Amino acid sequence: METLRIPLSLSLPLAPFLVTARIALGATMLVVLVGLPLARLLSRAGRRGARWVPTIETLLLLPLVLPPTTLGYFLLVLLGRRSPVGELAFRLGMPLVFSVPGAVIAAAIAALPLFLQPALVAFDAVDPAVEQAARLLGAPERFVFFRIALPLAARGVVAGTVLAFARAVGDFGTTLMVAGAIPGRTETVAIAIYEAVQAGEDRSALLLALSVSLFSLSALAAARLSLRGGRSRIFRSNRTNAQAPS
Amino acid sequence: MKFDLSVVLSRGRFTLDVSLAAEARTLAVVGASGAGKSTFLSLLSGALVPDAGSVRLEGETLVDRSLGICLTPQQRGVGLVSQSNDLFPHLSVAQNFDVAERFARAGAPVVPRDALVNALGLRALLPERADRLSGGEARRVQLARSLLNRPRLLLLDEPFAGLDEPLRHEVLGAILELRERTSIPFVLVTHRPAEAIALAEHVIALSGGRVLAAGDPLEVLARPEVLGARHLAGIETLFAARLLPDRTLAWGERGLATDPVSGTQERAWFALGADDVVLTTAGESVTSARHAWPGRVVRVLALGDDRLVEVAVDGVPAPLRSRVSPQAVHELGLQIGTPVTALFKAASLRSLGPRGGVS
Repeated sequence: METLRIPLSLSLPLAPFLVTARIALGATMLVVLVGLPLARLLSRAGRRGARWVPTIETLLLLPLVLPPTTLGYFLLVLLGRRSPVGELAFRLGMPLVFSVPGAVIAAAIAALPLFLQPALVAFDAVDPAVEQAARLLGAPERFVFFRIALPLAARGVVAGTVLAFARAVGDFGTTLMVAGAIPGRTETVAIAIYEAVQAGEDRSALLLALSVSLFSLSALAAARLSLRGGRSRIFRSNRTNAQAPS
Repeated sequence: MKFDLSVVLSRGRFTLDVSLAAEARTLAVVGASGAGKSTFLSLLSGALVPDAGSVRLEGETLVDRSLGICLTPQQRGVGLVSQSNDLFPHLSVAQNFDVAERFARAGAPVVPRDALVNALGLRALLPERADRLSGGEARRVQLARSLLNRPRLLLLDEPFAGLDEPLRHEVLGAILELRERTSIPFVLVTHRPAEAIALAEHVIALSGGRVLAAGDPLEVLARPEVLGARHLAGIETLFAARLLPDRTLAWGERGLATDPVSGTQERAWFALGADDVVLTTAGESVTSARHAWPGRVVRVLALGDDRLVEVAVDGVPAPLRSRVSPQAVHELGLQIGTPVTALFKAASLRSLGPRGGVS
């Protein structure tokens, strides 16, 4: 395995970092792809007073409160070879359990609520009169979404994306249940730390823990810097700051 | 424009049940809060769909529940100037205009942006972000944005709401100027009768979701069961004065006693309060009023305890309005055809619009 030589005769395996980056980025992309239209749909339906919205929102929040192993177990059943989904994926040559796609899906489902919450608040905070003004000018719904609603909800959406990425980086239980700990493929840093502790490699565990903390902090800082007028406001997304201009 | 609609819409305990067949360039909808004015506008704009009935503009069906026709807001070509600031806050004024022009109604007469921007005094605001405008500026930008979209009909929902008197005059001037420059019909929703009288040819008065009365604004609004005299304060005569070669102003053939003005605008808008116009039958005499215009009474209307007298002044295209007491009407013997002189001070002329004619 490729290792990074550092002082004090310690070596830090790079593979778990690469695996983590690949899985977290994939999961974040999946979360945004699914979560963005979902947040918009729920926000619009909520405005119209649709009664099913609170139930769906509660279900979507479930991954936040379920024990990761329970969530992982459900996913294992859902994506395993004995399920229609898992069987279909297997036949297509892309098994979903103990594989990178499985790890991405597991991390994405665990991270989805953290994206949805700030994104929903941000979409709720977009003045419906502004959107209606665009429609009255003749703008199609695609324009209303991409050019009006999304830029106005950008702060909440970016906050959600950053939180989802951070959650995907740190996911342990769900990923372990669904994707196992295959070195170089599904063994993320979080799992590598666990295994290092189990093996009594305290120094490796410490280094991995410090490194992943630094990595996560850097990601959050980069996200903050990328936001105009950034500061820590993105992490306190609410109706007011989601709507407020920078 | 021909308005032909018959709609029923229920929302909880409130029901709007309106039938209207009218033809007017400017239609005003008046009524107290909760009368159904904004709901009426929403049915025209497509924000709400009636439970039953139909809406036709100039013979074209926007909604007909019995036929299953319901055009989306995008398909209607109806503009709205909302009482709240509904500009795109993250875009500049110019970008707001770009959106309006991008989706402008094909085939409709083009409204030149430059001329509109100049007429409404918006040139300096073009690079500003829309969320940084004052109330009066935002309302003027909303008006311009709606018109650049070339709507077939423009809805004005309480366009003076939340504006103080100088800003109200600024926006009023903008509306008058736009009405002069385009042929687009307007529907004005207001709870202030004076605005309906000043701007509309036809008015419908709503109460509890139903039409209380419809017709000529002054006659409808003077009826005690519609609004009553206490609501009729603030009636004005609105007019456009021409800029003469010597930079002085004239209304029709009558010169206005104002200072010469600067600028290149060919006309300036003014409001003259009905309470500021004094009538005399003694002919022109020496008074401190700078304007003493002879004319004839063309209408005397009872406004509760007061009377509104309209005077056709020689050489002026529209009647002057004066609010007087019933005793004055009796003592002066005012009736249709009575020769009178209308007197008002130069200071009573209130300049409208962003540039003002005199200031």
